[in-house]
Amino acid sequence: MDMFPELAPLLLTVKLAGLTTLILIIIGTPVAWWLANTKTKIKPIVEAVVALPIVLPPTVLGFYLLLILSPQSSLGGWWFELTGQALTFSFTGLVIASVIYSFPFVVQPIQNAFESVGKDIMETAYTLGAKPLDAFFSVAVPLAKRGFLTGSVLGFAHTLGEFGVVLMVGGNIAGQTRVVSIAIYDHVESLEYAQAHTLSIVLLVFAFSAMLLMYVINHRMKAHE
Amino acid sequence: MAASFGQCNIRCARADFVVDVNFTVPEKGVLGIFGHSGSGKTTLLRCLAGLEKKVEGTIKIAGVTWLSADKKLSPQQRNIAYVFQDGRLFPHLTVSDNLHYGARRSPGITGGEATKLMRIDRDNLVGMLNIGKLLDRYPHQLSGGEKQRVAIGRALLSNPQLLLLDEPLASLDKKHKQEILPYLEVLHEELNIPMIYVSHDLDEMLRFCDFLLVMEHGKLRFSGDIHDALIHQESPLAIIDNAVALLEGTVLTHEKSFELSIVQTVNGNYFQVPGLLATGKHVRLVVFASDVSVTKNKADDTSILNIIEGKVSAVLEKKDGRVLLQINCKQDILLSLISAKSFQLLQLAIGVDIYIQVKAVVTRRA
Repeated sequence: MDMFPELAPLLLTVKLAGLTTLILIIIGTPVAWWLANTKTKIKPIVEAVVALPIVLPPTVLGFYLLLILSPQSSLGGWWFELTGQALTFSFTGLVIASVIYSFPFVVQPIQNAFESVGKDIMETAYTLGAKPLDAFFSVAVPLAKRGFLTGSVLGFAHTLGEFGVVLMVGGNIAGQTRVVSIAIYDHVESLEYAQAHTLSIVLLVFAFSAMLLMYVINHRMKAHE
Repeated sequence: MAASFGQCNIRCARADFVVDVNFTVPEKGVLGIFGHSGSGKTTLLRCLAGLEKKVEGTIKIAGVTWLSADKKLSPQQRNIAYVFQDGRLFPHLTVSDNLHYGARRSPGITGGEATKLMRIDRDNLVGMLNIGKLLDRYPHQLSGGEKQRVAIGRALLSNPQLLLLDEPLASLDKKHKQEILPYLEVLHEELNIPMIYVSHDLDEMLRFCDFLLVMEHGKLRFSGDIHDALIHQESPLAIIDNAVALLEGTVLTHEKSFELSIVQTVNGNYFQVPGLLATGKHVRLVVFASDVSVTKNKADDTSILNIIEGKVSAVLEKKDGRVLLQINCKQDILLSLISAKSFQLLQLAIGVDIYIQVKAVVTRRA
C-alpha cells in the first residue's frame, strides 16, 4: 500500500461507487416501475423529490444529510444504539449519502425505459399466462436493458465524481471516507500537484471510458432493436 | 345456438358509452363479434380476457367462474390466448422464443370432460402456419403478415381453452390479408378450439364465423347463427347496404370442360359455381343480393345458370328506389335487391311464388 499511496482512495472510490450503484439498482428499479405505471396525482411531487439531487447544491444536500445522520438525530441515534458507531464520517454514512445523491441518475433512465416498454406488451405477456413478476423479468427488464445500462453507468460515474456531499458527511478519513475527489483536493491544498495530477488523470480516463462504453453499447443495442 | 361452452354477462363503462351484453359462447365453431369501430367490441373481448379493470357481471367458461360479484380471475388465471390487432410479438425474442413463451407457461391439460383440451403439436402448427423458415428471426425482420402468423401460432401454443382474435387482419394491407386468410381457414377447420373473432369486416365474418353478435354503442343488436344474422328481419345486417346471404353446401360433382362445380345446399338446392372444387368438399356460398334477380316465370333462354324456385318471405327494406326481398327457396334463405319499379310491376308481395336468377356465387372455405 505504501508503494502506491494513491491506490487507497482509488479503491475506496470504486468500492463506494460500486456498492452505491448496486443498491440503487435494487431499490431504484421498483421506484422506477412504480413511477412509470402509477396514475396517482402525487406522481409529480414524487418525481420532483427524486430529481432534487440534480439541482440541489451538494453542500445543501450534505448539510441536511449531516443533520439526519448525526448521532444526535433520531435516525443517526438509532443507528448508533444499534451498532455503536456513528453514521457521520463513516463509510456506511457515505454509502447512504451517495445513494440519495445519485438516486435520480439511476431512477430516471430506468423509468424512461419502463415507460417506453408500454402496457400493451405487458398485457400480451399476461394473456400468455405470465404472472406479473414473471412478465416483469421476462419482458419489461429485457426491453428496458438500455435504461439499466445507462442508469448503472451514470449512477457509478456520478458517485465517482462526488465531492461536496462527501466532504460534508464523510470528511477526510483515510481508508474510510477519503475518496479520490477529496484526495485530489487535499493534494492541491498541500501543493502536491504531481499526486493531484496522477489521480485526476486516472479519474478523467476512467470517466471518459465509462461514458464511451455506455454510448457504444447503447448504439449497438439500438441497432439490434 | 349450439351447445353452450360459456355464458357471459358483461357490463363495463367506457368514457362515452356502456358495454352491456349478455351472450353464450358456443362449444363448437367461431363466434364473431361484429360492429363498427367504437361499438365496444374490443372492450368486450378485453373484459373476457380479464384485461379491463372496471367490469361487472358474470363470466362462466367451461364450468369455471371467471367473473362474478365476489370473484375476478386475472388474465393469467383464465386459460385464454389473445391475438391482438398489431401482433405484439416480444421484440427481444426470436420467433422461436416467442412461440415458446406461451407454451411453457401453459397450464396443460386439466381434468374433466368440459376442460379437456387438445394439445397442439408445435411442429404441426409451425407447418400449418408456414413459419418454419422464420424461427431464428427477430420480429423486426418479419413482414406484417408473417408477424401476425407468428402471433397466431404463439397464441395457439399456449394451449388455450378459448382463443380470442381482435381484428387480427385489420393492420394488414390487402395483399398480406390474402396471405393470412387461408391459414385462418385451415385453423378453423382443423383445430377444435372455440374462438371469438372480433372484426368490422363482414367478409372476414363470412369466412370464419358460425355465430354472430352484432354490436352497436355497447349493446347487442342481434345474436345468433351467422346465416340468420344476414337475413333475419330483426338483424341490423339484413339491410340494403349489406345485403348478402350465406348458404352451406357440399360439392356434388364438377364439369371439367366448363370449369364449373355443382354444389348441393343442405336444403337440397343446386348451385353451379365457378372453379373445379373437390367432390364431397364442404363449401360456403356467398350470394350478394345485387346478383339475384327475380322472375315470375321460369326463363329458359337466359345466360344465367342458377335459376331456383322460391317464395317471397319478407320485404326487408325499401330505400332510394330499391327494395330488398327475402326469398325462401326450400328453406334456403336468399336476398334479392330489385328496383322499386320492378317490385310494383311484378306485383310482388309476401307469399308470391317466383323464380330467382343468381348471376354470381362466391365460394368461401373452398
